[in-house]
Amino acid sequence: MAELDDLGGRLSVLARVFRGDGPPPRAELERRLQQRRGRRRAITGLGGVAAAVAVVAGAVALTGGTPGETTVRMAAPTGTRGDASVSSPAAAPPGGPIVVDVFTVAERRWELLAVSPAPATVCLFLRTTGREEQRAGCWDEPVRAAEGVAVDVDSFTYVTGVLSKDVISIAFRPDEVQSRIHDVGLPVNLFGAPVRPAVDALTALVTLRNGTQHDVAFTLPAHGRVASVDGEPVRPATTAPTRPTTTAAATTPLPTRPPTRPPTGPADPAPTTTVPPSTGRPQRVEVVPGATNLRKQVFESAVPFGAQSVLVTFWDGIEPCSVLGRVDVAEGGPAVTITIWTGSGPGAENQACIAIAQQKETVVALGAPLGDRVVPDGAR
Amino acid sequence: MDIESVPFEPWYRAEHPRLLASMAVVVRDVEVAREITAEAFARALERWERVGGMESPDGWTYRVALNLARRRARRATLERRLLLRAAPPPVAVAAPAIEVWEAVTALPPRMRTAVALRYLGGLTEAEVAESMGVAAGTVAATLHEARRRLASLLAPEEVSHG
Repeated sequence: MAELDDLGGRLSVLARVFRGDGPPPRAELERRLQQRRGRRRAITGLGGVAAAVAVVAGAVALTGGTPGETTVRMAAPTGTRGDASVSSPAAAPPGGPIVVDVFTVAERRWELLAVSPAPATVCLFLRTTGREEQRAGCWDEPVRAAEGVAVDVDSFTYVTGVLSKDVISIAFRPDEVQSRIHDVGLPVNLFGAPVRPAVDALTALVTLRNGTQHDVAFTLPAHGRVASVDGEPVRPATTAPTRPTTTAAATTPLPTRPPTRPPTGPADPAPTTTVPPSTGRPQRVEVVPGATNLRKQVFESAVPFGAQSVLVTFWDGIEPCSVLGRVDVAEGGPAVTITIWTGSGPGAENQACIAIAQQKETVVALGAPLGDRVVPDGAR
Repeated sequence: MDIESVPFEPWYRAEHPRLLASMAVVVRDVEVAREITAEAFARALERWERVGGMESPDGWTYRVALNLARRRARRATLERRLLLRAAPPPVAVAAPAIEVWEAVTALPPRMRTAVALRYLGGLTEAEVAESMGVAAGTVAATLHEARRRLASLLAPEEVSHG
């Protein structure tokens, strides 16, 4: 088969299509930068709160510090860096993730789990009474450097670190880290709280060089672990956390300090996003006027609802970062095509968005009863 | 040798359609491509003093855009794997309804990326190689194979119309 000679010419059709779009005005780019700077200020202002969990390429090590302080020791024992331990699915503890925290909220026992589904990747998520909640945050940067991310959850900071192989140099700047967290498409999330890197932790990681310095310690003003979820204060669970089955962690107890309330006030200026309490049912939502950055969202199901409506269920993020922005209904012949559009809600620009998947449902009114008509998804 | 910085605005207006079209082919999602393109240009604007003086500001911007696309894809894959219940299927956003779109976006990822950067972005093969982080020879071979595949998809119809 011969090559296509005029591929450039054929593709120029596409270029013309997109030229019709016209670039957004420069002011739009500047607004985008401004938003990022706003988030950066929020990071700089972060301080005073921390509970710390260090997950460093299989080594989990926490030691208690002086009162009011927790020392987070990021230990990467020789030979356990990179994908040699929990960074590798094959080497992950049998049965899945490491339990890094256990607490009780509203009579339910919760576990904060860390799992590494791929090298140099750490995901944190919550599980309660044996089932996983749809609340997770992952860090999956390429294996080019030590990776340290601190996330703030209900005013407590979880510090995660992944030490990769072949570390040559590290030059994290807070803004770069911030953009890493926020520019990856789905916003990073962790059960309902803004995700904010802690500058202190990252600064400490900068001292890691070439993979040779494998015992870096830094301190954070700390309190305990999770203090509240969904506004509910937590109390320590009666069952001790499961130990990570890694070499370094096996000798290091997980912290058992009772949780205390973090200080609040101007030192922690970033707005907090909350997750609606889990009811086991999708959250009923309506179109939010003024939503921006709309994009089509595939729906999960569409079933008749009432005399002349359809109940559409779909997955989306947490408000106001992700809201239902528009619903298109095209009724014609034997089909009712419904297109769900989701986007950023008003006020989302001031939020450190989190990437929690949440099931939502909305009632879509029709011009006539659905009857035998099918409901194709306009987003597919 | 110092390279004189070009003004941002005209460069941006000229390059935007090409990068947008390229990214649309790469990610096969026009809305996502718009987001990636806007972010890449915002970063270029933020660093224009440096980027504008580069030999190829285009190359820098395409690299940024490709990195954004990769991270987005990686995260989406990862989170889908982790959160099976929260795994919405890939969104097929409305695309230009033309056969060439169908043909190019059906190519494997590396191939369509090379095609997009070379023929829509107008980068040289060396710049494509640098943006994709592969050897120049790999790009040449990839493009050769892409053209061969596209010929089988696009050429017959051309003949029938002719």
